[in-house]
Amino acid sequence: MKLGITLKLFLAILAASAVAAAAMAVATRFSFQSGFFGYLSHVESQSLESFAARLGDEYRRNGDWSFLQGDYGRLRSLAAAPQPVQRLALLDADKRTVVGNPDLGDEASMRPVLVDDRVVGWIARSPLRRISTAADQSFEREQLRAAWIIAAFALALAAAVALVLARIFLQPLKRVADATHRLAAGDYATRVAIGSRDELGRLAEDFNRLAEALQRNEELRRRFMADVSHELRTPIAVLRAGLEALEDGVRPLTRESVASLHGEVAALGKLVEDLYQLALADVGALAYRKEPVEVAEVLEQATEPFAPRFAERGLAMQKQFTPGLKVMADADRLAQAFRNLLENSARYTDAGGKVRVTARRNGSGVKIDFEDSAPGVPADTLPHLFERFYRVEGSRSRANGGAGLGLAIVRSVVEAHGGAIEAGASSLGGLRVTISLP
Amino acid sequence: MSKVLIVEDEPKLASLVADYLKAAGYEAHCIENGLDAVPWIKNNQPDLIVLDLMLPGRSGLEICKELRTFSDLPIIMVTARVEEVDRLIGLEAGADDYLCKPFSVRELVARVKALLRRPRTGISSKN
Repeated sequence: MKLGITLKLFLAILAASAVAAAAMAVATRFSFQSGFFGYLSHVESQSLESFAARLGDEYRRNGDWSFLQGDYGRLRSLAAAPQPVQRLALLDADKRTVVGNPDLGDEASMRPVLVDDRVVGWIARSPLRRISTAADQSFEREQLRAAWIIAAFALALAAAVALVLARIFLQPLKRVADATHRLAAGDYATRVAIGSRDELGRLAEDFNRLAEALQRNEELRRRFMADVSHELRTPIAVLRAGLEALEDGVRPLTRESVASLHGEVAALGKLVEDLYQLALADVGALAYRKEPVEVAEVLEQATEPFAPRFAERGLAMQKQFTPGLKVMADADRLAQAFRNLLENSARYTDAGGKVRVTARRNGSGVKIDFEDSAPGVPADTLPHLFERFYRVEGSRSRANGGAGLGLAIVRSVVEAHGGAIEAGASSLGGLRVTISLP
Repeated sequence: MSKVLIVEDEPKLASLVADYLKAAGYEAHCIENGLDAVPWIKNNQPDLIVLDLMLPGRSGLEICKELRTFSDLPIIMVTARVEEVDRLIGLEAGADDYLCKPFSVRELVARVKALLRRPRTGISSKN
């Protein structure tokens, strides 16, 4: 059977109350019984007092116990209620039984019968073992019945309180549960009201944070997909227009027109490749094979292929690498990040300028600067530089190349290495990108 | 011969559209930078504009809004933004038509023709 948590909590509170009520009933009954016994014993000893006095008077009148010898009825009439005669015996001064129950045993208490301060006999009485008279028994039954009724009332009251308490305690949990259900169904705007400062309040708080993170991720994902589709649309538009122009004879089918279309396909391919690289970088540290890497070596490898392109544009390359700089890194990914930065410089630095790459020790880590000469990047665009698909005004034309993913890839790679990346103005007049690796 | 201005930052696409328009018998001129659009329009009085939304210098939306302050010449917006809200914003800003990339250039030319066929001043031109 499946029990709801409300029912479980209700039953738990009720069970605890019931156990407490039962314990109290048992204790009350025990205390009542011993109290009642004490009371009865007290009453008995008082009547015993007058019994002994009456026996003394009879003895004085008769001179000895012979008048009572074996006369049970006489004893009973002298004893009078509430003295239970079957628990009594009269003994003479030498403790020989005159009349009454001869088998009272050693437990019996002895009370002397005095005549002129002389012991003339003993009353033996066995202790009270159970409640015997009808009146006493009915009183006890009455008490027991009352106890049962009280217990039943207490239980009913406990049940009512338990039900209310279970509801109150579980209200916040139920709210979180309902909200989780809505969240799971895809409603990321769901939030829970935080009612208390206890564990449930913290649960609600954490739930809200989770929902917020999901909502933000969903928004980012949607924006990213929109950006990707936007970036793919332009080259496809060119391709489509170009092919239609060939079909309709607006453009002649020549080697050049085919090459132009081929260029668009290549740009599309590059975009897809960049997206793939970005996805790889995003997978993060898991997919990285980190090993001790000599930074200067990686930088040399990354800068080398750019030499012809830099020379072609008249860009001077300046390299200052402190040797022996080692970091834990994936050399391939790091080299790719460096290449993207150099590609950026090669693309957006005016001909005849300068590109400077420096690597030096920075505490226990390494700091690498990529700097180039004019044109610079407007200060207000610096914080956006590493965003996906972000292009600085003027460099956005696809004629210049990139889809705005290169620097985003650099940032992903650096962050996956536990490093930091920052952009600023260079003393050379252009952009400075500083990478710090631990 | 009607004069069509193409404001588009992708030169290959711009020249393809221009070639199509020329083949259809129009005079076509291309501008890449958003900042150059309004001065050129003021100086050259085109009959229709094909306007990209994402432009260097100045956005197509701003250009469209400014044009509407002094002219009601037909504007066809062309953009890679495809959401309904983008189309609404574009038409609200004063565009007469809206095409999403990748579009068919044949269709664009057909729409240019349709817009130019319509008498600018409505009923009064019949008088």
